[in-house]
Amino acid sequence: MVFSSITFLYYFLPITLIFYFLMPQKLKNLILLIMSLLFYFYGEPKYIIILIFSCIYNYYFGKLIEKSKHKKIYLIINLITNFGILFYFKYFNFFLENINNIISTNYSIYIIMPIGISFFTFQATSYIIDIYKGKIKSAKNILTFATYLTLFPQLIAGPIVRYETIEKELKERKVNFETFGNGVRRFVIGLSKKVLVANVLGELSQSLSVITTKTILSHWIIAISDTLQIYFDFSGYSDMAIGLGLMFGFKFLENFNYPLIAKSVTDFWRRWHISLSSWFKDYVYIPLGGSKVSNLKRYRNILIVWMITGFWHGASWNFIVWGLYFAIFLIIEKAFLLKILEKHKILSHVYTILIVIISFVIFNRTNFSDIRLFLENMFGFGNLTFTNIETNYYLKNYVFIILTAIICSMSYKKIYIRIKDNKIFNFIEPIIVIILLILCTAYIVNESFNPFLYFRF
Amino acid sequence: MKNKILSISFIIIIFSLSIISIILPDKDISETERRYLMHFPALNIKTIFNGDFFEEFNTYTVEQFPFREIFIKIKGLATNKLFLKKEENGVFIKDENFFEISSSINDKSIDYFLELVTKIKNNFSSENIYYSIIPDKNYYTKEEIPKINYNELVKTINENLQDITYINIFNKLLLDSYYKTDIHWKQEKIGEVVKTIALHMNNEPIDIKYNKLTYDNFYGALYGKIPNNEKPDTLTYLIDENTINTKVLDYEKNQYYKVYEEQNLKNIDSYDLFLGGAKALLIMENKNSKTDKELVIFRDSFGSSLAPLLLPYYKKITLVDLRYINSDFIINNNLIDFDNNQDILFIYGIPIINNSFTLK
Repeated sequence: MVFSSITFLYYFLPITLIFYFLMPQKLKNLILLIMSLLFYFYGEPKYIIILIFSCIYNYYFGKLIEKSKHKKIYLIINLITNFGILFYFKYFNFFLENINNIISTNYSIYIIMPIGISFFTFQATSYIIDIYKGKIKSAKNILTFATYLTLFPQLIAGPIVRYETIEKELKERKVNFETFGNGVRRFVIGLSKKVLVANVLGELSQSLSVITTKTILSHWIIAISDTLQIYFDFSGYSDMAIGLGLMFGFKFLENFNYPLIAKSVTDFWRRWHISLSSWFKDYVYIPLGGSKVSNLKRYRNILIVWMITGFWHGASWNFIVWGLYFAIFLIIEKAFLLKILEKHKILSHVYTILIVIISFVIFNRTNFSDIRLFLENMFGFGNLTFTNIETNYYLKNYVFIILTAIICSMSYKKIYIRIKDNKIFNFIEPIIVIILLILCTAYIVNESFNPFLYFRF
Repeated sequence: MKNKILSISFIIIIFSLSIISIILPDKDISETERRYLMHFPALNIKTIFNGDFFEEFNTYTVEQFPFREIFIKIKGLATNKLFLKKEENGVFIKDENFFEISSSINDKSIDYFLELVTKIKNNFSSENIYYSIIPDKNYYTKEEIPKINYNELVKTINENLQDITYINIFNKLLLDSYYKTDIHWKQEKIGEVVKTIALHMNNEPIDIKYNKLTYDNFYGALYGKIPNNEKPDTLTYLIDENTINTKVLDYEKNQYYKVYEEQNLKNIDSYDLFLGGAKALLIMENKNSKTDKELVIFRDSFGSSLAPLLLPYYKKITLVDLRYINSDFIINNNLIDFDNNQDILFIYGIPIINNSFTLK
């Protein structure tokens, strides 16, 4: 089920809220678990079995690892199982294809990837590793653990929530108008990012991609709107997850921190999909030696981590290249560039955003000749005119939404802190949120069904 | 306090809309969209486990959502007034005229169309085979909107259909030859087209004085696609002895109709006036005819308003709409006399040629 659907907003959510708030404290986790399983079942009826297996399997391994003397063996068995399942469903086809290409065979197998498997596998393994390291205690009962792993706000597209983050809240949590209202606000903002901005930019990119005569400008508009679209789509999803979490008394960590205003690639990755990059940092980069090793080893570690980060996004070569592409800039920055960038404020923004825009050209195209052609055209090596009637037509139609997106991708924390106690603002803010909710409903009703970009990850 | 207000209004909105949507009876059709709306989907073990139920339930909840039309209007107003977007749902309005934006030629569709025409024409023994292409109205506007490459499209078709005669009607139409709220041409504005086609097919020119009847409330197919306050079109239809004296046999229903079915003006699509709307196979028999010539037209809905004006030249006109009847079925069952020495005309609008997979 997607959040930006009538089914979720006007059927699933009200029903869940009623049951949740009518039930006594003891049963609240059970309600959440049942509704989360239903939420998953709705989009992936058959594969619910994998999710349930993951709950039971990891719960018992958590217990086992905590008590056993042979912690390491159980840890290894567990990681092999978890990543084995992920590998089978997400990467097996990819490896088969590549083997076929190398030894000229033609094996094929039809595998559909269960929604959200990358996310819940990473949550489960973080839980297991944290127990192994003694960082957390295992969940008291299977209900607690299953509620954690399946929690519907973050189940299918993140953020990747660590057990330690919500450990206390799984036992006891309070919801009042203050937290619920914060949740509503956050949720509606996320919904608006997805429905009012990301989807509309998707339309623009789609329209420009199919026009007969392409231009340099049309390539730039596509690249820019794709970047904005991914940001608004994905961060909108995280906002909705965080908002829903608040409505039910959970406080998830932030997943995005205005990445498009980053001043370097290093800075960008501190602000983009934070729960994923910190997962890789804690469970791959640091175990490899992290930054406390020689420069050469450190660069090797960066390359490894970013290659896997890329590969996590999808079973295709372009994602690996996308990760390595970032790794190269991260290494260059660590070596010397960061010091230079610090001195040039505007230049550092331009440099970062350009690298990010180009990265999503790679991200969005699985075929390397498509990537090359697109970049050639973008930078004027493709014998294209600068613009034409079609490009101008779409630019005129969408210029305002692009500007809105750019303005909304910046941080207004300081202004917000200053005006948040202002009476007029306090009066207007709820009205704006409700108007946004109605607008989103109108957009959803108008466009009917639309899947999230990040759904198959 | 602020959060309390927000929480309560949020809860009121989602709960009230969800309760209303459960209470309100389901609607059968959406008039502005001209289609049936989804009803509660089939619920059983099979549809649940293969996911069909949930997918259809999503469509159902959206299509039966309370105040749906109002929400669609709100969306249109927001994109238009808030985000200053001129195009909505693929439709662009300029000077009360509605344009459906289409900017790319679908090569596969063109190939499929050409194969289909070639297959059918090879079954006819007659040598009088013609084809014509009806441009969509975007061809005639001076507005700077995306357009398909018309020259390339016509060139491709001409090159692949060299052994049958092309009747070029591009310069016989104007922007004003089309309805403002619809994609079709106006019957009263296609006199030149009729003359050109008739002449090409070796007919003596005939001048007919038509009586004009009008219907003022024609809301075309594009009207509902974009919230607007534009006026409806006037639909004019041309009457003469031929149209009055011709009976139209609907092959599927084995029933006779009039050339102009006036009660259809009240249909969702008033264009159904012409030959009773979408029909698979029609045979028009003109008792008034002064000739013995016969014509077979393979056509889309543009043909419905064209065919009545070709009646003076023919005793019998057979109209085939391949969207509703399979060409193989026609050929295998000899539903048309393929050996007769008749005229054969393939005439299709570019919207269909560019999306020809609906033809069978």
